[in-house]
Amino acid sequence: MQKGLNKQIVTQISAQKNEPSWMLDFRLKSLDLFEEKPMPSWGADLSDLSADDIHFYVKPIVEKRASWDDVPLEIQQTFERLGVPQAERTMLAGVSAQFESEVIYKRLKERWANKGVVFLDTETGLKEYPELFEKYFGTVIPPHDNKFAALNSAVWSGGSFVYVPAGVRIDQPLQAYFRINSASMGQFERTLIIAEPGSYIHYVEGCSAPVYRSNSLHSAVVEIIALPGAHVRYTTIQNWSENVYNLVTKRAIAHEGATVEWIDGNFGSKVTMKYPCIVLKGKQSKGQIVSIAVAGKGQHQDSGGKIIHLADDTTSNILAKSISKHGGRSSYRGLLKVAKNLKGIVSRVQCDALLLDELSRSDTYPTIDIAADDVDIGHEASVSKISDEQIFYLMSRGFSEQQAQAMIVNGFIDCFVQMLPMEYAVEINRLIELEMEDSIG
Amino acid sequence: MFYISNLSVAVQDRTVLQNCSITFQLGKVYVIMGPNGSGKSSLAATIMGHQGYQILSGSMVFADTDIVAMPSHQRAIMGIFLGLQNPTEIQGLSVIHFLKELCSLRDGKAISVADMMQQVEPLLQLVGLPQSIMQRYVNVGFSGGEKKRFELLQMLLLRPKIAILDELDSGVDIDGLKDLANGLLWYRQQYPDTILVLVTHYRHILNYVHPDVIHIMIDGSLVAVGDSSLLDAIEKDGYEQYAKRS
Repeated sequence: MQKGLNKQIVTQISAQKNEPSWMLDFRLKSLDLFEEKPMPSWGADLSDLSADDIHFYVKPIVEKRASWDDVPLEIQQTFERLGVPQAERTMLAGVSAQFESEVIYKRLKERWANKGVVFLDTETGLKEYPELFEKYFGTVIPPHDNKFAALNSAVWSGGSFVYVPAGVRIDQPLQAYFRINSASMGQFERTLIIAEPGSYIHYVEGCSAPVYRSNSLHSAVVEIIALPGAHVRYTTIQNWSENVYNLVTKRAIAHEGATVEWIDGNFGSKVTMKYPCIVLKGKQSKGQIVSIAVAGKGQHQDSGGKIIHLADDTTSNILAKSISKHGGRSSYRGLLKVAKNLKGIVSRVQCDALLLDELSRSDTYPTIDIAADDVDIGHEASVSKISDEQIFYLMSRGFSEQQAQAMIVNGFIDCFVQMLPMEYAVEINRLIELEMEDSIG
Repeated sequence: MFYISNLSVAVQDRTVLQNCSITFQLGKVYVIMGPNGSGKSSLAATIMGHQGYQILSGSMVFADTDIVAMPSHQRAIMGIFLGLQNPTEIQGLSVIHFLKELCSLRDGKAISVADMMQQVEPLLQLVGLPQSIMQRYVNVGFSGGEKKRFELLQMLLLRPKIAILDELDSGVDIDGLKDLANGLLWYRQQYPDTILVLVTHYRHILNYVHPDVIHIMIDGSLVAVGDSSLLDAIEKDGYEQYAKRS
């Protein structure tokens, strides 16, 4: 195993993927930026994540066969309790395995292909659609954006490439797990979604089942371009094992009349730093970010959303819900920016925190930067606890304390769950119930 | 039968019930009356096992089991129901989901929404709630009357053996009162063995649901017991006559 992340490794990654030379240049420049940039010190504590460790994380290009028995018992048990089928378990637990859904994926892919929709892994996308990559790749999130975006840009591997032609509307969500077959989910995924004018796409990634990784850094980049009148919804449900640093950069550009929605659910991990961003670049574009974060023992969920209004008559909405328990910490970090001289801006930001015990913590760090006059902005934040009266009420009807807590917590996140496809909604409610089982002795 | 013997209860350091004893017999309607703050609601909450009420002494025996140490939900599963005076709001918990879970709990197995609706629909009509209530969140934005009707609905679904209704009649107009009374009468007809305990300080509802036994509570003590003739005595001379005696 090679020590350290260096030019040689990056060159090797690029060569293995047979990439065009511009991509190699992009990677190498990104590596320089990664090395130059200091670790971010403004958010969650990353001091345990030393730069020297990162070499470890870039090695698994070649699939390593592991067995189900290598997966920690705790994760195995959770899969049992969630009732995830064995085939999915092995895939989700990071054990390489051929996955039955390849067949399903193939069939769906054919249907989408008839409409001109492209849904590929990013490497294949680059090979088959180089002109789209040259035009859009790295334009929404340039490598110099932040240290981890630079890292991802240098060593990215895997992720999805989605292209939706003008006017094409795909009602059925595109689910990332159909695409992930023998290659398990990477740790430096790079996703690029291009929605041509008037198109609609709902992309769903993740699963409520815990994702186990022996390596502890996950640093993805997701770029979305919603061209005029396009509508993109991007839903993420992630439940990382407790050793994972989940440091993700997600950003979308909404052109005139376009709508972008980030629906983001964060469970597990040691540290998550994730602030999906929408740049409202075109007039009458709309952005919505709905998120939940659940922080348990030893976990810090530092998440939120960013909206940047750059055009007239743009509308935005952020709804962030967090739950902290067992001494967990959740922070809402948000940015609402309105550029100079804009008219007709409407924005609503609401963050609600629920604390399940005295040990847990919640903070709010909203940044509001408004340089225009004609704005209608609302910002609300609340911190609440489950009241004894609510617990008594439900217990007096026969629900155990644990069931009562789960019902109240599920109620708290209902507005998030409403945004999910049905099967995910059911999974999330079940996951909350499991989390509550753990939180009462 | 359900026995409460020599029950004394404190909330924080304040004694709210002193040496209360009542025997509840199957199939009878009990009324606990008294002025505001006399301890009626404390008694109801204590029977249901509210954590804020600390039992200093005494026992509560139902179905040969002392329930004093039992958590609320087990009491509920045994068949004790408390309809609350001020039922709490639960944001985001839809009535349809809540009632489905409630029925599943009662049956000890998951029930489908369709089967639940089949049971709920006629009861909605009985208690005078519109079907649109199913789409709302539990007690959120309910009027006073709606809350009471919803408490009764839950009682009818859970089919308790002892139903305690704390101020079911307060904050309810005359039509509401009739609906609630009709619901109770229907339930008694269906389940004649039910022990019904009405905690109230008005007598309006008693014009519809005739009580068998009336207890008067003053300052945390049960000071008088009798049949419905007690109602007339209170009507005439108020609670003060008992206060003096105690």
